[in-house]
Amino acid sequence: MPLIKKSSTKNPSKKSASSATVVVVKTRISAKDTLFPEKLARAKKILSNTKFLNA
Amino acid sequence: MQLYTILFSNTTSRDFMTYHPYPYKRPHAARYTFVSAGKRKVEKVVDFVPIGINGIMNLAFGNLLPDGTVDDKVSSNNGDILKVLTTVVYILKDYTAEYPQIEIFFTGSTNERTRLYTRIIKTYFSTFNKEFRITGLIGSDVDSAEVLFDPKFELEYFAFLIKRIN
Repeated sequence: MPLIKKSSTKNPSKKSASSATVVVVKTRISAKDTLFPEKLARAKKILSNTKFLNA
Repeated sequence: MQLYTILFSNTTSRDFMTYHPYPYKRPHAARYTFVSAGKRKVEKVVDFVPIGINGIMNLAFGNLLPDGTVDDKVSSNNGDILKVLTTVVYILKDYTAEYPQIEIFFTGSTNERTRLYTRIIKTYFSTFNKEFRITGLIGSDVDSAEVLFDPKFELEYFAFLIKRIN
């Protein structure tokens, strides 16, 4: 699971310019990457059947 | 580790818990790891994952196995459960300090664990209450209601939601 993605973008206005590196840091773990899929599924089930206090 | 040191040194309430947390690492913005060093060494992992409902994040933790998977049901019996849970509370404080707008959902993987979490929240409610708004869920997985956590409440909570207020 890549935690940091690196990608290169080129400045289209300067074809000969050196490329810049953009570092994208993922701040969230997506549902498909969780180590606890069963817990997440249960949490979804519970909260989708919950009457919230401020609802 | 620097953040951990800052958090720990800034803890003014000495009755927060009598156990010092284990040092933890944060290999990912939403994932923490630490080593439980009781009778033996057990690596633990804590994840915060969006549930997709009301912006709530699920807090889950368990034992990190050598193959990279986790076991969140096994009872480690490592003799340090309160120190482990103290560490999880510190991680929760760390994460919510960075994302105070996020509400965190958690429940035990067994009824016994949920009851243990309830006892801990009840015991330290006067301290937790200064930093977090704590609510509990009553009912069942398929029909529940959120209520403000009351340490004197006699019905059983089966899950919890917390949100940083300070």
